[in-house]
Amino acid sequence: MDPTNSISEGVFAFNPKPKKNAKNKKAPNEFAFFKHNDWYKSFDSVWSEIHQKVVEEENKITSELQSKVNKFAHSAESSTDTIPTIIMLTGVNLSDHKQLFKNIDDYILNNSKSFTATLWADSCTNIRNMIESLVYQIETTGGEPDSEYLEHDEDSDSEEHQYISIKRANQTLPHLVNWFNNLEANQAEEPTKKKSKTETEITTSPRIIIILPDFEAHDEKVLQDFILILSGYGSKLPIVFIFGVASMISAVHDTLPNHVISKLSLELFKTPRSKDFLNSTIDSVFLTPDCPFMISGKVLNFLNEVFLCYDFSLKGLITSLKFCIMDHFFESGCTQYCWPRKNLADVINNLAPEQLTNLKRVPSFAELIEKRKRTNDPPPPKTAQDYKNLIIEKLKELHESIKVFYVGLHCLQILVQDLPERDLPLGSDLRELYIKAMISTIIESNEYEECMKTLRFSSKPALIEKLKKILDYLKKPEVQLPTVENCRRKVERLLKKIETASPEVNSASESPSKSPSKKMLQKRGDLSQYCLELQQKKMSEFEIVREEVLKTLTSEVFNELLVKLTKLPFHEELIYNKRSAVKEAMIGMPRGAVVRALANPQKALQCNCCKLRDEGEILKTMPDICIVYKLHLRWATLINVYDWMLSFKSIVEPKSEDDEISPEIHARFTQAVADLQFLGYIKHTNVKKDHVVRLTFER
Amino acid sequence: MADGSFYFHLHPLKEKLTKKYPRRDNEINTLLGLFAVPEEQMLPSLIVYGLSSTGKTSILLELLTLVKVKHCVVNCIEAYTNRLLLKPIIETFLGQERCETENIRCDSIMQFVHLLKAESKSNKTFRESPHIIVLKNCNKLSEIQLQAFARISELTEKDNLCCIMITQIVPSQFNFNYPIQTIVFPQYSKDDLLCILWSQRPPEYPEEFYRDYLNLFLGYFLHVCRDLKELKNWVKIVFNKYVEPIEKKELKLSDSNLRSLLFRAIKPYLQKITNCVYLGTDFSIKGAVEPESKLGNSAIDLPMYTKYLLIAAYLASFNSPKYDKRLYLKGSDKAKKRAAIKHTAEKSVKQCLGPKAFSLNRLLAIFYAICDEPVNLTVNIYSQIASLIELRLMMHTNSDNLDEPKFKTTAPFSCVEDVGKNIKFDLKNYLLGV
Repeated sequence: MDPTNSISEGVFAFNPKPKKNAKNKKAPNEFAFFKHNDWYKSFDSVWSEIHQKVVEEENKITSELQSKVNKFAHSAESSTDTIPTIIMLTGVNLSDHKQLFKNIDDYILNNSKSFTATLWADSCTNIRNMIESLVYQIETTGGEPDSEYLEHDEDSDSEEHQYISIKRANQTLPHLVNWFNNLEANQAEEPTKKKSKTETEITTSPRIIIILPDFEAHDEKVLQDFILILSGYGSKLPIVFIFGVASMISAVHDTLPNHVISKLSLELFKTPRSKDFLNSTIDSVFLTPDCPFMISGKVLNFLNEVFLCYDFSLKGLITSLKFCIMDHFFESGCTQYCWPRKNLADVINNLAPEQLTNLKRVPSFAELIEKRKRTNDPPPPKTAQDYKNLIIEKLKELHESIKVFYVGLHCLQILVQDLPERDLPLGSDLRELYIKAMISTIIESNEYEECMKTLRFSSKPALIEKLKKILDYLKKPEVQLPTVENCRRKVERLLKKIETASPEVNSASESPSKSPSKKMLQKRGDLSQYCLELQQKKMSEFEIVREEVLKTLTSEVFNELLVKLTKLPFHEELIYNKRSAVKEAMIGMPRGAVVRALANPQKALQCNCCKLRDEGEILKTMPDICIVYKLHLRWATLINVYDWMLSFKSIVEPKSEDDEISPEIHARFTQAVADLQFLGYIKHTNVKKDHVVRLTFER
Repeated sequence: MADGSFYFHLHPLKEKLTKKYPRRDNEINTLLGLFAVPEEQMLPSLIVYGLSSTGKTSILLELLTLVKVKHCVVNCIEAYTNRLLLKPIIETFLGQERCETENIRCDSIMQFVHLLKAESKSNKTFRESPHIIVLKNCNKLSEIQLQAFARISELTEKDNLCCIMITQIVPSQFNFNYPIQTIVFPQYSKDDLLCILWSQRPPEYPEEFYRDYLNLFLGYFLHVCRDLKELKNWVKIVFNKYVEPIEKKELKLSDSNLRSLLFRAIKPYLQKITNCVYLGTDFSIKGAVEPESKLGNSAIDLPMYTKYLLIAAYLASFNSPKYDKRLYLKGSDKAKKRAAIKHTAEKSVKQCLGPKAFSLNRLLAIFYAICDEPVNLTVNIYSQIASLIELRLMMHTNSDNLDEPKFKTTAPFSCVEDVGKNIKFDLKNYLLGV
C-alpha cells in the first residue's frame, strides 16, 4: 500500500491489486522448513516410494470395477422410459469415497468421450442448485483439457469459474439439450479430427454420466424431483446415473417412491470389501522385504484395530502410516544410514565422527559393545574403523534376518491359511501372522500349538500339497539365502518321506494281537487296556511320519526362519515401535485430553513453574481452573461451594491469615467454577442451595 | 354439430386413437368432442385427472398433434423458477427466433399475461388461431400460478386459449373458486388390462396358450400392482421364464396337462417375484433369482464399534430409560427377566409407536454397557455417530440445539438384528417385550 501524500483529511480507497499468477499459486509445502535436513530428505524419498506403491495397489483393486462400470455406462440401452442407473454399494468407509469416485470419474473421462458430473450432497441443497451444478459441470468437461484438470483439483475450484463462465440463467436443461445437439452436430461434421484418439476408446456415442457419490446424504425431495425431471429428458439426452450407496440397497427403495423408481432401471455393482483393501495394501506395500520401512507388531496391531473397529478408512490408515514414517525418521537421527542395502558399506565408511557417535549410542548396539567389553570374547572394537566394520556387519546381518523372516512368514501362511475357520487361531492373513511373530516368538505361542493340533488331522494329499507349495515358494529366485537354502533341503527331505509313507496300518503286526485279545476280554480292566492298545496301534506309518514332519517343521524350519528381529542390534533403527506416539497423534480423545490438561497443566502449557512431583499436588502457579478442578476431586458427590472457595484461597494466598476473601479471589473462583460447569464437571442442584453436584468420577 | 361433415372429419381420428389406445373410448370421445374442431369456441380450462400410466398424457398429446392445434407442454416439476415455466410457452406461441431477436423476457405471471394480451391485440392471426397450454403434474405449481392458469384466457382476453392441467392428484384438492370441467381417466380394470396386454402377445405362441398365461399372470400380479407400465415390463420377463421348459424342449405344446405342469414350474418363481415389484426392473430379477444375500440387510458391513453403536442406538430408542438400570447394570438378571415378562404388553405397543429420541450421553452409556472391551472415548467414536447419521441409520432430532443433541434410530429391526448376530450379540435379550 502506498503512503498517502495528501495533507487533507479524508478517506482513501485502496483497491487491492489483482494478484499476479494467482492461478499458479500452489499450496506451500508444509515441510519446506525441513527441506535441508538429512532426515527429511530420506523421509521424503521413502514416503514418495511407498505412496506410489499404495496408489498402484489401489488402482489394481478398483480397476476391474472401473472398467465394468464404464462398460455398463456405455452399453446400457437408454430407452425412452427408463434411465440406466448403476448402484454402487461402496461400504461405509465414507472418507475414502471421494478418491474412489474421482478415480471412476477420471477413468470414464480418459476412456470414453462421455461427459461426467459429480454431484455431492452438500452442493445440492435444492433442485435449482443441483441442476445448475449439473449443467455447469457437463458443459465444462467438454472444455479445454487443462481446465478439466483444474476442475478436479479441489483448491482451484473457485478460480476455475473465471475461465469458463456460463451465465447462470443459461444453466438449465433446455440449454444443455441445445449444447449437446450442437456438439453432436459438430462432431458429425469433423469426424476425422479425433480419430487417432478414438482407437482405444469404446466406440459408442458419448453419454452424460451423472455421479451421486453420497446417495444417502441427498435430500429425498430434491432427489426425487431431480430424477423425475431428468427422466423427462431421457429421450433427448443419453443420461446414465451412478449412485454411490454406502449402507444397503434398501436405502434406495426407502428414499425413492415407486413412481420415481419406475423411471430407473437399476444395476448393482459392489466395490471390494474394505478389509480386502486393507489386506492387499498392507501385504503388498508394507509387508515385503523391499519396503524401506518396518513397523513393529504392536503399532501395526494398533493401526489394524483402528481400521477394523472404528472407521474402515484406508485414507486414515495411510495417513497414520505416513505419520509413523515421519516420526521414525525425525526422532532417530541415524535411520537414514541404516537403510541403503546396496551401498551400505560406503555410507557407513563415509560417516562423519558425530554421526558415528550417534550410531554407537543406539541402545541395542551399545548393549552389544557393553557385553563384549565385559566378556572380551570377541574383543570389543577399538578404532573408529573397527566400529564401522562391526556396524556394517551387524546391519547386514539384520537386513538378512529381515528377509529370512518374511520367507518364514510366507511359509507359515501357506501352512495355516486354509484351516477351517474356527480353528484359525493364528489368522489367515499375512498381517495377522506378522503381528504375532513380531510381538512374541510365534512357535511357542498357544495359537501355534492349536494350529499344529489341527494340522495333525490333515490328510496325506493335503499335507503333501502344502509342503509342495512351501517348496515352490522356497525355490523362488528372490528368496535365495543360505538359511533358506538350508530349510529348503529339510523340507525336500520331509516331502520325500511323506510321499513314500504308506497310509495303511501295518497289518502284519496287528493281526496276531487280535485273536488273543478276544480271550482276554473277560475282565473290565482288560477292556480298557485293549482300547488303549488299539489306539496306539492305529498309528499308521503315515501318521507317524506326519507327526515327525510337523515337529521338524516347527523346530528346524520355522525356528530358523522366524527370527526374533527385536533381539538383533540396530532393530530400533529399522523397526518403528512407538505405539503411544501414534496413538497420541492420530487418535483424538477430547474428554481425555481435557482431564489430562486439568490434572497436569504442565503438559499442556509446557511451562517450568507447574512441574508436579506427584499427581495430587496442587501448586499456586497453576491456572485457576486446574486448582478448582483438583480441589473438587476431594469431595464426594456434593460439594459445598463455600468450603471449596476457602480451600481455593488457601492455595492461592497461603500466607494471608484473615478469613476475609478479597473480591479478586472471589471473582477468580467464580470464573473458574463457571468454566468447570461449562466443561460439564459440575452442575447446580436444588437439593442443597449452596452445594453443587460433581458429575464425573474416576473408574 | 349433428351434420354429416363433422363425423366425416371425426371418424378417422377416432378410429386411429382407439386402435392405439384400447379401452379408452369414452375418454377419447369426450376429448374429441372438446378439441376436434379447435376453431370453434374452446373451454378456458380443463383438468385431466387419472393415476399414473392410465394414458392421460399420451392420448391428449397425440390428439392435439392430430388436430394440428398450436400447443405447448410443460412439465411442472421442472419449473422450479417462473422463467422455466413461462419461457417455453412464450417461445412456442411467439416463435423462438422472435423471442431471441426482440429479447423478450418473461419472469412473472403478470409479464406473461401482458405479453399475450399485447400480442393478441396487435396480431390478428394470433388472436384468431387457437392455442393450448398443457401443464403436466400441475400439482407442483403454486396456488397463485394455478389460479392464474385456470383463468388464463380471461386474463389475456383471448377467447381461444385453453389451459389443460394434467394431474395425478384428485382435483378437489385444488380449491378453484369456480367450477372447471374435469375428465377422469379411471384405472384399468382386469378386463382392460387383459385386453391391452393381449394386444402385445408374442406371435410364435398359440392364442389360447397366451390367454392362459395372462390369466395366471394377472391372478398373481393384480394384488400387488395395477400400474400398466410395470405390468407390461413384468409380463415379458415372467413369460420368458414361463416358457422356459418349452424352449428347453422338456415339454411340448401338445402335452395334455401342459397348463398344470407349467404352473407347477413357475409357481415358486411367481411367489418370489411378486415381492420385487416396484423395486426397479433389472436389479430385482437378479435379486429374485439369486439368494437373498444381495437383497437382504446382511449386506451391511460396519466397523466393530459402529456395530455396537448402532445396537446401542436401537436399544436406546426402543427401551424406556427407566429400565436402563435393570438392563445394563451387572448382577440384576432377575429383575431383567421380571421386567421382560411384566411389560410385554406395554412394550409391543411401544414397538408400534416407533423410535423415541435419546440423548448422546445415554447412547454412550449404553454403548459402554454392552461393549465388553474397554474403549476409549475418541473422536473416531464421535465421527462414527456422524457417519451413522449420514448413512440414515440414525437421525438428528433437534439439530438446532448444540448443547444437548438428540437422536433417533431409523434402522429397521432386521438390520440391527443381523448386525447383532454378526458380533454374537442377541438383541432380543435386551429388548423388552419382544
